[in-house]
Amino acid sequence: VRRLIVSQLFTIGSDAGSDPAAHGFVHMLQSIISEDLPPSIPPPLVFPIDFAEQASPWKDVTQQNFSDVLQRLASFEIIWGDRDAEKKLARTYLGIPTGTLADQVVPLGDLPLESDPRRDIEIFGDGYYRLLGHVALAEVLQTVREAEAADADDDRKRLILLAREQLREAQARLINWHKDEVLNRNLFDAGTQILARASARAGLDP
Amino acid sequence: MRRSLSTAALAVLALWPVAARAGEVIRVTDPRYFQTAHPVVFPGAEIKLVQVQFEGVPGDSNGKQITKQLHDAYLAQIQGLAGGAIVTYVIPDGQQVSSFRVEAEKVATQQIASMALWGRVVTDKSGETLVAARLSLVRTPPGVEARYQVMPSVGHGRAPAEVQGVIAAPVTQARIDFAPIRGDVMALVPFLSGLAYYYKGASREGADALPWLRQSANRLGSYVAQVPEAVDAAAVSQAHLFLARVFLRLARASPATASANLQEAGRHAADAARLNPYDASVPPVRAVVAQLAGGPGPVVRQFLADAVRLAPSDTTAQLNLAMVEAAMGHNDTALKTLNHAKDVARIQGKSESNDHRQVAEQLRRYGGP
Repeated sequence: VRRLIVSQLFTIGSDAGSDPAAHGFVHMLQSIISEDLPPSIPPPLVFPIDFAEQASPWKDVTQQNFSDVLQRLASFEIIWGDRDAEKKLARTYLGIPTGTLADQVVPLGDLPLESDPRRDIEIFGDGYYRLLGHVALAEVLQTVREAEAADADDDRKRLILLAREQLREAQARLINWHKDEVLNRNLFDAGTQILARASARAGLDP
Repeated sequence: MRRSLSTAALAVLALWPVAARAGEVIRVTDPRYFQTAHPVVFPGAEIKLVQVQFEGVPGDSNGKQITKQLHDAYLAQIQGLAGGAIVTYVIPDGQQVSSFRVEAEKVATQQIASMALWGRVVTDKSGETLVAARLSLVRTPPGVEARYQVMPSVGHGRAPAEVQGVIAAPVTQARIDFAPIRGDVMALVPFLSGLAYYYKGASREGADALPWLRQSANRLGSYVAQVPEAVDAAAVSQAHLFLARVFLRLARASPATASANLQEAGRHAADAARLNPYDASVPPVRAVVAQLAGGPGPVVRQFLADAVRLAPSDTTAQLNLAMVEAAMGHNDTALKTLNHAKDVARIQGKSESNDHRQVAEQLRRYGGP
């Protein structure tokens, strides 16, 4: 099962409201991802981890250590936030190992930490579509990795065709937001280039 | 892919007339309700929309209100659609449905529905309601196609042979995610009812199809006139694509006005492509329009090549392309495309289709000594 790791964000203080908020955030993410990704992309399982509570090498996830976290957890997508205790929000990011063509860290938006995120978060703003687009891109890139690791030529071609279908479906579904600078640079431009190169390597027409 | 009503099915409909206004709201009190099968509501309905209550945040009743508004407005809009029906499922406050998409599509399938509608409702910081609606074409309606016979110019030592072909453009985009709507969610209703009339018209031929197709054109036309392209390019593109299909079918059903209808079909298909260049179901429709309008072979071929580029695992698109290449006299290219289609089918674990065998047979006859 593919997993989207979510670093637990709702740990400011020990207020009684933090647990429902954390639950609400994870529920919201799982709901968006399982309902709104294109049919060819199996939704990853949203997997929350409170790094501060776990016996892990990291107290928290940051732009500096996220790829190390992903490698050790054998995953390829992670959400974390830089908490601002004064403003009671977290600036959230999605990290995906993309290579050099696409951004590895995508800003999603600010997340209020003291209320039910399903009510207050601007889930229909740019952050929502960046989340959806880049989770889709992470899944496409993972399909490409699996293709390139395949032993049989037919398996490699089949997975590249699947990755192209996944990318095109995501692009068609998110066409309303193709002018968003981050989505355009990554899902639309870099995604297309990556798949064209992978197709050529697999012996398929780009 | 074509699905049309059989004579037997029409007889059943005649025996079980469905009221012009057929709507039912089902209140789901048991959380396990969707886990078991239930009797089909309006079993004789030909085009049924199943709606599952829009999901809101706990304590917000907007989801329920919007669901009810859509139910009533859609029901009013299908007043003239014999065989049309809507079944809406509402859920008591405080009860959660784990995944609205799964439940909506599952219950729509059980209810032998054509379409399923669900969505999400939130209130933003300014107190304004945002509605994100999702539509699934559970049973896709028939698409469009162009049949043709041509006598390509032949090379030395080859006997002339007529190439018979069909460009198939089935409805493959079965899911439409509307951009969040601020304010009046009723803007969706012309789209939904326009599709319902398309289902009806596309399952009929000739004069039987005309009134339904005209109603579909009016409603989808109203949707594209009301919703700015910048607000929801994806859904407006889909509406234009269905309008193109409507006008293609009107052209076939009414030969006297075929030329004007083909022109309209071409205009709407071009708008669909402009608004969503990533939708692989658009280029085959443009190819059908071009073929029926007597467009030059290279133009038809380019649309079909675009379809293959967008959907490289779609063997129908590749067969379309191979046939048109053969019709243009490019037999070697056609054979290469056909072999590629065969390879793509094989690596996806699909067996060779009848269509594939027929195209191969034609190529063999045409290309033979």
